[in-house]
Amino acid sequence: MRRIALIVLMVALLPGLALATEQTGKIRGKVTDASGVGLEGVAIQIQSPSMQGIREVVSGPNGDFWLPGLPPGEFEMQAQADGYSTYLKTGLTIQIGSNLTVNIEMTAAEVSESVVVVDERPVIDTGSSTTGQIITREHLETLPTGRSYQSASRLTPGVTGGGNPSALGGSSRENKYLLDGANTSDPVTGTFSFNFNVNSIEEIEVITGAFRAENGGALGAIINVRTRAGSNTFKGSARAYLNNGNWSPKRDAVYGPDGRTLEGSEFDRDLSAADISLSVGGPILRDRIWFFSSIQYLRNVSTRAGAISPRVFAGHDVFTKLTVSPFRNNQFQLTVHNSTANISNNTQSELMVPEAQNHQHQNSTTIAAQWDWRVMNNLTFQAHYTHLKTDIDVTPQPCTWRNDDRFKQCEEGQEEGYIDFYTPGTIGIAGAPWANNYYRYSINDRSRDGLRLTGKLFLPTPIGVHEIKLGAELSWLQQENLQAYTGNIYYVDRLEDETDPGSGINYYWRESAGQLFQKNLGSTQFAYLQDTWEIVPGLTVDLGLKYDRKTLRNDVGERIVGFDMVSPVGGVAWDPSGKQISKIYIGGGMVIDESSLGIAGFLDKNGLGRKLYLGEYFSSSTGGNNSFDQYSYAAGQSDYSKYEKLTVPRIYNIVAGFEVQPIARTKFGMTASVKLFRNLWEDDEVNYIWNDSGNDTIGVINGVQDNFFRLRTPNSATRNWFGLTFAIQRSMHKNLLLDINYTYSMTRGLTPSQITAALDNPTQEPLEYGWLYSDRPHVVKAAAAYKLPLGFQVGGQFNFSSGSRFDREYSTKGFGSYENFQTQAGTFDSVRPYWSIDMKVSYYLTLPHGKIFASAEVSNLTNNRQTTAINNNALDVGGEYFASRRQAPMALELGFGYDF
Amino acid sequence: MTSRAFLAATAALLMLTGCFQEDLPEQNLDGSIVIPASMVSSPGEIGPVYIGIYEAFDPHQLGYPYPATAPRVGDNPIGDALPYGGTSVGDFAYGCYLLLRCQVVSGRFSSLDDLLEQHPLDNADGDPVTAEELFDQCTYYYGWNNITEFAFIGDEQLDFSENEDGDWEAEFRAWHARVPEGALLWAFADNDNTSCSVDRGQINRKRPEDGIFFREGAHFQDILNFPDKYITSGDFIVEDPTVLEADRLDGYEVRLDYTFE
Amino acid sequence: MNTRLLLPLTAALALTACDLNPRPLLQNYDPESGGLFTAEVDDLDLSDNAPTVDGTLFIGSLGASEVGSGTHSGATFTFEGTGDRVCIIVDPQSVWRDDLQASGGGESANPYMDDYPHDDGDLDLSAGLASFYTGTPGVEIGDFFGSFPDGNGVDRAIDLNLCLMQDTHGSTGGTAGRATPEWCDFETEPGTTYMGVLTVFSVPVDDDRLRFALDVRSGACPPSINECTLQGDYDELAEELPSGFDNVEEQYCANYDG
Repeated sequence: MRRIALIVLMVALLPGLALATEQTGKIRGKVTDASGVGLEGVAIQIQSPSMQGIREVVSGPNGDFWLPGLPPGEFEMQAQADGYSTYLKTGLTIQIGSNLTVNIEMTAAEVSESVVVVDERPVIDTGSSTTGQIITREHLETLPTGRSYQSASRLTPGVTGGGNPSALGGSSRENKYLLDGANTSDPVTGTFSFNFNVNSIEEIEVITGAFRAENGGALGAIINVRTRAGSNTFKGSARAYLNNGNWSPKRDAVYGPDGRTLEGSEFDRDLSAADISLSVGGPILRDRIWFFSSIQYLRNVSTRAGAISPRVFAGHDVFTKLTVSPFRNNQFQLTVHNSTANISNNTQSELMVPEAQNHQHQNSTTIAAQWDWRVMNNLTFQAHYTHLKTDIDVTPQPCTWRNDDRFKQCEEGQEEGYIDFYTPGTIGIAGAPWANNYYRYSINDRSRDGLRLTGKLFLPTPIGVHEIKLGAELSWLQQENLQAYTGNIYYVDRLEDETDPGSGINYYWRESAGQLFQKNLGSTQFAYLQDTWEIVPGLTVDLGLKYDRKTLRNDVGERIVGFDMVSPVGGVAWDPSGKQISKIYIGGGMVIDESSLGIAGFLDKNGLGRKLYLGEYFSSSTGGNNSFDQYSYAAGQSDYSKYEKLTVPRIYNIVAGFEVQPIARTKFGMTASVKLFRNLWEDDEVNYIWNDSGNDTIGVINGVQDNFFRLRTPNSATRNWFGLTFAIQRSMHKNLLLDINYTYSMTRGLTPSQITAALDNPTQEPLEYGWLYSDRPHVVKAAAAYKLPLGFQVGGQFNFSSGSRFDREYSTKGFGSYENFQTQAGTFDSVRPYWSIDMKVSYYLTLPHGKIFASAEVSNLTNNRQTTAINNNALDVGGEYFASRRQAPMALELGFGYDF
Repeated sequence: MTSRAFLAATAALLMLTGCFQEDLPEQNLDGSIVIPASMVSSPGEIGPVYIGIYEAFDPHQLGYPYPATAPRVGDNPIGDALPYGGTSVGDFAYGCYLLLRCQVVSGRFSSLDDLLEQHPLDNADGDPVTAEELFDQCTYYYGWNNITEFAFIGDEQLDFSENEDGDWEAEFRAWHARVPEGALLWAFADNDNTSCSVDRGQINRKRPEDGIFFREGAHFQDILNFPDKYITSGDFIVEDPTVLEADRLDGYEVRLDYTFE
Repeated sequence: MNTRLLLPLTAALALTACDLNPRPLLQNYDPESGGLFTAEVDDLDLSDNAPTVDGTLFIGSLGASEVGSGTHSGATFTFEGTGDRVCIIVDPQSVWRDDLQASGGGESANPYMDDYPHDDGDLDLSAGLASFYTGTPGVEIGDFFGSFPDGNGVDRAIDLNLCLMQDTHGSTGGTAGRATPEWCDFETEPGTTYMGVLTVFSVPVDDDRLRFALDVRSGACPPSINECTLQGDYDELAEELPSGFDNVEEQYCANYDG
């Protein structure tokens, strides 16, 4: 066979990352002859080390062909027809959501002649108006991303927050998390259900705007994790990362969030971490059954300044994925993941003595099964089943005989690990100098079961090419929350004489009300129809409709949230250059809230209301009638009533922007986004009558001093977000990777920090908007990695945020008396600008059968971060503030390993 | 479906999803309080005004204008007036000195000098406290930096102004109230501040003199339920309650023209 | 192949199973059936020694509130007003065994009760006009919430506001905690019927029964009310008493210096 090798750059390829909540990418195109006439019946074959076997399609009447469901990896494509040279294209890169267009021009030639085209990796998806980013293994390996998918997703423009990201004005509870297509958002809180071994991740797709119909369910971002899979060759990796607080300089907080100087705090003496993981993948049966398995052990010790007992997080993460292609055009995938952790001394407070500490055991399991069936050349079908179960068990800290008085010590007759459910303790407030908390336990089990069916049809027509996607999903949510005994959350000490620190002899007993068993159920059903229509080459219109039906029930089975809603989305993308190096796009629509069980739990009949008991309950010598002291605060049950007129919290979203690719593998883009959050969940108090400042009550409507709440989705519960982003992205090319973006955004409306925006805010004017939040930050995120000679890589990340946030906080004159801080109605809580630099240096020594790996990652190499919220992070003792959390400390993490 | 029809349907759906009527049983009710010029010479003399929306009126029960009440229970001479809602014009502010606790009403003073004129007090040396001293005390006490942070002082904060008839008039809004047709708007002005409880309000732990904890004072919580507890000599009362009309939520005028002796 | 397949799967599944079952510690859990008791609501007026003003001390017991439905156990009783103040005292079961043991020369004084499962429970007292409570159609005793339409057709919550205790902030609406007596007195009109409501907040977990003593007496309440003001609320079922202790409450109160 004779070959003619032609190196062609940028030939007839439409690229990129079409963010689509899929786990795979796709290629489509048209086979023509030299005159541009479509050729029918051309056999197109594609293969990759990341894909089982060889896929083959035959071009349709006009030469159109379609290759969906391609796993991320490097592909090689071949087209053959009688009378034409064999067409061979190599170096095709597929990412999750990739939407490549490869037009094949067959050259009439002698048999066995070949045309070889090398793909130039594209960076702009000219067919999509969806915004977001794909974080590849290149990013994860070379940049200091904190080695968690949550923190890595912060590379995306508009995504902020720490380990629990917020996106484009959404709260951290308004994202949707997917693992290999399985919805793993927490059924109760809406946040992520588990941490995940970053060494098992192939790519992370973060979708932030102009969702397609198939996306939805998230007012923030969709964070879609694609895991690694096996291949026809055995590959493995052993990695260990260690971190110790003594390896880096010790720095303390200097400034409070309002700029006032804080006193220095004790350095975190215990800071240390270990992350050891092993992974192996390979064939069980070549081209038929592949596996990938990983196991990770994590241990993380830290003690917040002032706290006595070290918080010890010890956990492991186990992951297995099987990919099976038993027969032609069918593939099965089974994913099993478990993440388990035990957290000792979980409450980090200087008021907590070891015997009062609590312990958390958390366990999350995901089992996902998927069947892909390529029914015809232009029709595919997928069935996906997910089972997610998460347990969170909080108990008193088990005792130990180990001679470490920072842990709860066992007493005579108690075995190691004995959990004392009975002995009450105390916690100091009002300046009481000792503390000893007592935590009863709560056992919380959550689960989600979901079945999703998806069909995709590729439909070339005389006026453009349609890709039609039709899907439906049913899912069931459940929460069981059990708390042992009625009440007994904790006991507290307070000073009998608030001016005398030696007078702490009384006991408060705060009790959670009523029965402590909750069971919430919910179901969601949705269906969507989505058409991606390329009218002419370079002009794509995306239209979609999604129908959602949701039911959430409280613990006695009442339907608390129930709605049906149709939400439309759409977008247009146009490549004005016609050369696939530019894009102008606009897209958007309506997206509704996923609404987790926490909303229904808000109106549970059980577990509502609280009591705080005063007086020496456990002593008989109360010394006469101290009846007032024995009476409680916030007593009795509150009546949480249901309000029938609920609508669905939603966003109206428009994004518009452009992207250009001036040089190879590098694109520059600008995006303007508008997100209007409407009808957010709101908690409305209906019994109290307020004065004109809205900071105190002057009467009650129902004659009793008690709260009566109801759930609402009022018109006034809004948040508006406007953002402008400039971004430069370059995938690793000529040893350089860049990911730089600047976002200026304006937020105003309900604070995004509550369960779903505004829950728990009384809705009395002038506090109608609950906790107002206003922010106009300038955020710069600049990350770069460079490959040096001799196997070295260096990566860095610079973060800047101009701060300027302020919250209008709500408090009444009558309450908050024992708060650490006086909070006036309308207090402003501003944040100073901060910046930080993280660095990472990696080294690979290539050996005959593998690579030795070593890395050093320094987070907060230098920074000016301070505590960000005074209520949580600083304490007022004797009128002086000191930080209860340290200024983000410099931390050095060393990693080493062996990959083969 | 043709693409044009699809677009039309999409547009229609977009419009539909924007409409949402809450139909809350509670509404905001707007109106104004009028105090005849003959009753006070300056707004600084007016205590907090409490406006309630009540089921009915009962001028005979107490011998002065008063809402109808539920049956008498407990220790109060009369029953709970069970308001549907209400609000106040002015509320109690802590004046940064303990001596001013339960004395300062917001919305009555345009400056610290005005306040001190109405509520003169002496400093530790026995000299009258000046506006500068009061400012310093408040900035120390609350951490305020600027006079604009004194939410109870300032021209813009003033509740009452002279209307065309020369009477004192203030606007109010009763948030989230039930407003059935036939219900009544009734109000009183607590000119001697008996509706302020020294056992309520923010606990303050920064008193510079001796570090003693004390409360700043705040409204009692049952003022609109049991107004009789707080109506004392010299307080102004509404003699002719305003009747709520169907489907009308603003423009109500409430005249405080009866002085309780 | 089988080994390769099984190893990772087994490893993954073996680690998924750690979960606590707290149900045996729920207060109204029946270990025999595995089920949960249902709430019970008593009308004390139907009992042989129904509470009356200056009548005999009423001793009764109530079950746990209902897990899963939010329905509270409780009891109601009515009495006629006297034209004077009437005092209601209710004392839920409690036995201060530790203090007794300590005062009896046993173990050193322990501020905490270690007989917790036997001796603890919380009963909340409220009272109001009986007509408000019983005279309204559609109100079922049991959820302790109800409403009636007023003259303007607006639904008003039924008001049991005669027995309002102050909380620490000076607001009304407080209730006392576990094992602590609750009481209040208020003016009554002669011939008017009043209703008292006892709502179970929690019960001892040993038998899911909360014993209580209830007294309705004329006049104001005494200035000091404590565990020994009403006696008879000790737990008859508190077995395994230390030797020398027969009626713990009686012995405890004999030495009580209040």
